[in-house]
Formats: sequence, structure tokens, C-alpha cells
Amino acid sequence: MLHRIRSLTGVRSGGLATAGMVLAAAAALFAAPESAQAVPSYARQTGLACEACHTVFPELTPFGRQFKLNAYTLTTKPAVTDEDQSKSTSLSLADMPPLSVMIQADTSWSNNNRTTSKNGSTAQGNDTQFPQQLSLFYAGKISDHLGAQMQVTFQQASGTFGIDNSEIRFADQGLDNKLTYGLTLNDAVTMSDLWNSSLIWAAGAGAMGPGVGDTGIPATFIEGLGAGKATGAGGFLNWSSNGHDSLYLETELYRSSAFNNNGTTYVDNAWASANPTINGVAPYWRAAFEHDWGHQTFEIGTFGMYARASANGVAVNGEDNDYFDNALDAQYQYIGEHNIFSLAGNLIHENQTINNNLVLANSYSKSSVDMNHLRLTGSYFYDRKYGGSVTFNHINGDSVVGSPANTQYEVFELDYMPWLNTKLLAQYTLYNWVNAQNYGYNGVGTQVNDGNTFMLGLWTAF
Amino acid sequence: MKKLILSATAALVVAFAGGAFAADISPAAVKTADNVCSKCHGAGGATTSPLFPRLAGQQAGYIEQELKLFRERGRGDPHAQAYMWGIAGPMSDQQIKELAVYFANQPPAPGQAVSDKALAAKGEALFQNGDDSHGIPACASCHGKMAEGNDAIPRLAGQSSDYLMGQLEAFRSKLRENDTMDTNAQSLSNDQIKALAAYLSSL
Repeated sequence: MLHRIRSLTGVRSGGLATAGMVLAAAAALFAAPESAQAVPSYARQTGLACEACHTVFPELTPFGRQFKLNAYTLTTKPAVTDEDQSKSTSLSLADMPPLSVMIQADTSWSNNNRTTSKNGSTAQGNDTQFPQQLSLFYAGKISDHLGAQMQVTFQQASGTFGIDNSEIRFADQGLDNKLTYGLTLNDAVTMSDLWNSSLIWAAGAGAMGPGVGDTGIPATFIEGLGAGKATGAGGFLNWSSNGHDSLYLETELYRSSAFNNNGTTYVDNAWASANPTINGVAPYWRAAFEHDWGHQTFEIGTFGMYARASANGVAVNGEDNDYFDNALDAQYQYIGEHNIFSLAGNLIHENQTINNNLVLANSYSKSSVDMNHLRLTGSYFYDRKYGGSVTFNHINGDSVVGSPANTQYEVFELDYMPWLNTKLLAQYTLYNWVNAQNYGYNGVGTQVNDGNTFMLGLWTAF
Repeated sequence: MKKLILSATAALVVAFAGGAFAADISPAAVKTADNVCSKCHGAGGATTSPLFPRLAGQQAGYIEQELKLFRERGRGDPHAQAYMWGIAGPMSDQQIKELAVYFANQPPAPGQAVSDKALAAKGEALFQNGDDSHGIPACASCHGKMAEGNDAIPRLAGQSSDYLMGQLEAFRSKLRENDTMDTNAQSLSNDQIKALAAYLSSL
């Protein structure tokens, strides 16, 4: 039987934890004859302070969204440049490459013994990881109109080192700068997105979680496609005629990168054997409308994907299951001189049509199941120094036939940021029920409420 | 004959000066403005975004002064700090001068529509005549009757109303340090600030 599960560790290895605080790229301004002072700080590549692009990482300000929209190419630093016969730039290589390092470390306490994916071993309820995650970024301008955010990560829980959430992006402007258009190549669904109500860039409590988390939390198909699990290519448009309102449209085709060659060679065996992988290509769509006024900004939008998928990417008796995932998302920010308040959320509705004869042969009467996941988060920060947030997750429906997915849990977090690029956090994850188990064993030998976890964490980049 | 030569010479001088002035826009400044400045300030400095000030048609002397203040971190209102300190940091005096000339030569963007005519009228009265009872001088006495500015005194006509309000508040709270404007803005009420912004942004 096919279970879609999401190890909290697994998703975090790329998805939620990767910092949107990509330093990068504030590209060099001009080929100035004077050499710029090398500024040995977070903003070395940009010359811009963190608060220009971020409220508190990984959440973006409207300016930060513009920076990403335009392919990370804004720069104030010198570059090696050249021009062709028609005076357009044929090369623009930053004198100093926009590199950075990110570290997450934590110590956590839980009554449950938790399983790592490193070798199937069981971690103690109490666990310390330094690092929990260590990432290297190239994030910045490649040339005029082309930029990248590339990330490779070592994750201690799985013992793996590999590609994490990454994107190469092209962007240009037209129609008197009212239209921005471009292309994206990325390895995670919503990697290219601009808002923190998306999947990869979900901010708020839980964006960084314990190094070893509880397994068994059900997830929709689209949530599993982070950090190198699928490769997408596509394009986007952003239209803004008055500077206050903008409409963003994006579409991509994704292929599974967890396996190749008819599913016989696996890039990521452990993941591919436990999760459905795309057969062929899966279209993804995104539309978002943003309105900015005064200190406030509001976005509402939708995104979704349709995929045919099976475990190991191999159709059983010639049949895949169909996944149709549709989400509604919204984000609100108040960015004041001292106070920053934000709300973000998404509601994913999934319809899974089971064509897989193997499952039908086990005489389940349903041929399709539905699952919903609601994530809401609210954050407050004072002076970008002290703050906290609460995230609420509610899942209902069935993850597979006969398997109720009813799950609800909250994450509470207090944050202290001694510097703009460093966050110390205290976090508590509280499970109300998991897979319809209110209290007691959830079928894999663990007590649900005992999965509640307290964590102290460090998250920094430089 | 003398008169003719004199006026012809004068005409030539004017033409030459005019031509020379326009020719002073350096290609490097154009490139910088297009590649960097326009990302926030719009093409030619004529943005419609409420977040960033319009630069098109701004006084060259004022732009030069402010870019140097950003570079030296002498201007401390929050957005100046977050955005312009980094942008202006590596600029040379020459680059600053060239950018100032570039923006001064851009056609000013048209004023923005007024939604509250009464408020704008109040702003006009305050701008042209000041408010003696609160010790507020007439802004026009320095900024010009048409709010066009002069050298290091900025053009205010057609500027974004959000930006104008933010700067007046910054002067009033001394977050943005300027002896003259800090004094002038000290007695401004919130309503007066709104009125001034509504009037000036419509010019």
C-alpha cells in the first residue's frame, strides 16, 4: 500500500528551512574605475542592508520580491564586463562571487523516540545537532538579466550532502517597465515564488524545526516536491501599471528528478520508494495579485499542479494515480518603523484518483480520495530584534483509501535576533492529533501527544 | 552692425551653452541609471511606486548633495539607511555629479490626480503663504512658487505624496537631520502634512 508520508526532517532539508535570506546579489553597480571597498559583512554582494529585502528572514518585503522577480541581478559592485558590436553587455562577472554559508543547529526534547533516515536508526527523544544543516549558496547575478540562487546542503539527520532548493532565473522588462517577464529553471515546486504563503518559502514558526522530527505526518503530493525532488522549467509574467498593484502569472512543467530511466535507477532511493514520483511531466500554475499601500501589503493568489504518479515512478499494471492539487494562498504584511506584523497562509485541496489496480485489487470501494491542508502563520517583530510567531496546521481527508489523514498541530516560537543575520529561537510543537489518533499509539508504536517537541535553535548565515 | 554681431554672438553663446549642457549627460550615467536606479526610481526616474521618490527633473545640486549624504551616512531616515547607504556607498564624486546631471535633464513626470480638492487647496495656501500663527514660513520662499526648487533646494512639484509625507514626518521628528527643515517642520500638524503632500504631488 502506498503511504504518502512526510518526514518533518525530509521536508526541512530543502523546503521550509532554506533561507530566503540569500545574500546575493546585489550586483555591482557599474564598472567603476575605483575599486569598491570590500565590505566584510552580510551585505557584501549587495551593499544593501538586510532590511531592504527582508522583514525578518526568510520573509521578503515588497522590495525583496522585486529583487527576486528581476532574477537577483541588482548590483552595486564592480564586475568584469565586455560589450559586443551593438553595445550590449556580453559579459558581466562579479569581481567577488556572491557566496555565503548558512548554519542551523538545535537541541530538542521529546518523549517520542524519533527515527532518522540516515540508516533507519532510532534517535533518542532528546537530540542535539550541530550542525543540523550546513548550506553553501551561490546566490546572485550571473550576467545582465540572468541570476541564480543555488544551494547545496549537508543534513545531519540523513547524513546526505546534495542539491537543495535552487533556481536559475532570467528576467527582462518591457512596455515601459510595466511588464516584467522571464524564465525559470528550478528543482522545487514554488522555489521561484515571491511570497511566503507558498510552500518552499513558508515563513513563521516552524520554518526551522528540530533536526529529528516526527514521521507520519500526512502531506499532499505537491508538498513533497521540494529540494531536488522534481525539476521544473517555465516562465512568468508580472504586470504592474501603477506601482501599487501587480499581477503575477507563472507556469511550469515538472519532471521527477528522484529517478530516471523508467524508474530503474534511483537518485534518491529512500524517497522514491516511499513517495509517488511523477510519470512524464506535471504542469504547475500560479497566479498572484498584490496590492501595496503605505506600510501595508496584501497578496491573494492560487497555485496548483496536476500529476500522474506512482511509487518508484513505475506504473502498476500500466496505471498511475492522478493527483490534482489546488491551493489558495494569501499574505498580509505591516512593515512599520519599529513594528512588523505579518500573516500568511495557504489552503491546499488535493484530489487523488486511484487508477492503480494493485490498490483496487485490495477491494477498497473508493476510487478517489480527497485531502486538505490548511497552514496559517502569524508573526510579530519589534525592531527586527525581538519577536515570535505561531503556526497552525490542520489536515483532513484521506491520504490513501481507508487511511484518514486528520492531523492538527501548532508550532509556537519566540525569536531573538542579536544581529540581522542571526536568529536564536525557542520553539514548541504541539500535536493535537495525528492520522486521526487523538491520544495513544498511532499504529507505529508511538504515542501521539508524546511527540510534542521543545527545541532551542540557532539559525545564522554569513 | 555692432548690435547685430552682439546679438548673434549672444545667440551663439546661448545655443552653445544649451547644447553643451545637454551634451554633459555621460553615457556611464545613463547606463547606471538604467541598470540600477530605474529598478526602484523607474525609467528616467519617473516611478509611480509609492515606495520611492521620483527623480526625474530634480535639481542637480540637490541630488548631488543627497547622494553624498547617503554615501557618508549623514542622512538617517529609515529607507535612506536601508536602501541608499548601500547603493551610494561605492560611488565616486564624478559618478555622483554625472547622475545628478542625468536626472536633472529628465522630463518631470506629470502630477498625480487629486482625490481631495479641499485638502489640496489647504496645502496650496500653506505652501504659498505659510502659517504665521505656528511659525511656519511659506515653503514657496525657498522651494519656488511652482515648487520647482533651486540648486540644492529640492523640486517638490509632482513628487510622490507618500514620500513627501514620510520626509516631512522625518524632519519633524529629526530622524532626518537638516537644520532648516527640522525647524520649519517642527510645528506642522499631521493634517498640514497631508495637505501639503496632496497639493505638491498634483503639480
